[in-house]
Amino acid sequence: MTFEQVKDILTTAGGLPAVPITPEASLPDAGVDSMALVVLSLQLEDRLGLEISEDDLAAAACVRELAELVDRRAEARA
Amino acid sequence: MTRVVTRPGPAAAPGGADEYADEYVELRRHGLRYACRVVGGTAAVGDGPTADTATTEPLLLLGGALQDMYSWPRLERRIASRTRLVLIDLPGSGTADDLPAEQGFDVLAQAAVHALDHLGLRRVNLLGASYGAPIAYRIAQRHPERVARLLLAGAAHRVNDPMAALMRDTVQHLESASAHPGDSPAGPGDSSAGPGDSPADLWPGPGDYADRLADCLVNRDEQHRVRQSAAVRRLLTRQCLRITRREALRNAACHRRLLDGELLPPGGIRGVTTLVFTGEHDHTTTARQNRDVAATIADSTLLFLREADHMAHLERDTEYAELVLRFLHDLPLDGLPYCTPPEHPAPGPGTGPAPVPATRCPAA
Repeated sequence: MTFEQVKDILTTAGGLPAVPITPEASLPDAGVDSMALVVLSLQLEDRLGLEISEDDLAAAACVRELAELVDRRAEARA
Repeated sequence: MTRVVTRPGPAAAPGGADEYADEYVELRRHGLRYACRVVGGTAAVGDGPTADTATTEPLLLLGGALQDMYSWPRLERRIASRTRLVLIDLPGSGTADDLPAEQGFDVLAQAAVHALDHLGLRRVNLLGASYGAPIAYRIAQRHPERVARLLLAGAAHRVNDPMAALMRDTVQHLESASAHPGDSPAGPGDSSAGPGDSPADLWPGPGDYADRLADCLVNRDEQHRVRQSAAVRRLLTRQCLRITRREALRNAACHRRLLDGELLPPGGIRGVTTLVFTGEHDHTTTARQNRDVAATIADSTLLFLREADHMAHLERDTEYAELVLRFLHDLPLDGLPYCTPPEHPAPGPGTGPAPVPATRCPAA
């Protein structure tokens, strides 16, 4: 999953403003709160069939790492 | 003590022009320690020069029973660029000392007013959401000169039957399981976790409590008409499953306070322009209950956010913030696509709360 795809979920489904969401932004600086993490987790399950907990998502240091985490989980499942 | 940090605003790149201040202020009243944050503007508390740059009076936000002063990040981001926002951990919540259950909403209202005095804020806008509504109501009733505008989100004269049943069960279970029944959660400042802190130590079935609470706050019957219903339900359930023993006992104290008869003192409110609102599918505080509250306020407007329930601040956060900002700036509330048409319930002589119907709560 690309950074842009993660950003798209966070803005369209998660309702976050787009501007602060940059690849290197930390999750707090990007506005990613607990509600956004729940939405992201649900969307990943719905769209990709991937179950990634909010705790695992919250451990990402920045938004780019969120995308990399999704990729790793998808590869591990394949 | 005051600590100041600077955080990026909602639409700002780090270091951009929309950064705003975030001040942490420690408070103390009658030996109880509590705290607040003043967010937004460029600097300090008080009615000083920074107030001139704001577009309305500062907003004091009094949140729900399971919330603290960090629980409203989305509203915070959207309000902070327009005016300062005061978020507070009143005694018994967040970082504050515990408050014994027998100390009620009057004490909490006095603590909130003390915070305004400490901050040098003579007049503010006031938003009381859910558990915060009885506190905000008391402040507006007793100090109308200090409240520019009042917003009550999810207000009621008393807790409805399913929620009351859940609260009674919770209190009974926790106090029977406690080594010191009826005691406050812990000594002041003791927030450390220890043996007996896990949900499994608190509940025979922690998932049952989480499900029941979620059922009381999220309207499952209307989940297909409520935005983000599944996500909000999951968020609430997760929070409940992670609750510590101290937090659970604090919640029990909140429950006791809420179960202690009428939530709102008689006499109504005069001289404060007020907006009463909640989600149209709110079954925690129903439309009728909110209407009854609005009818006790001389200058009140009542409306409901569409496609939302009691958790409207999460389900429709953008619209919730826009509605709050419109009201704070005296803009018209007619014709908003995300709201029902505004009503103006007229208070009448002898107007009092109607009996609360037994709202169905599936798992309660």
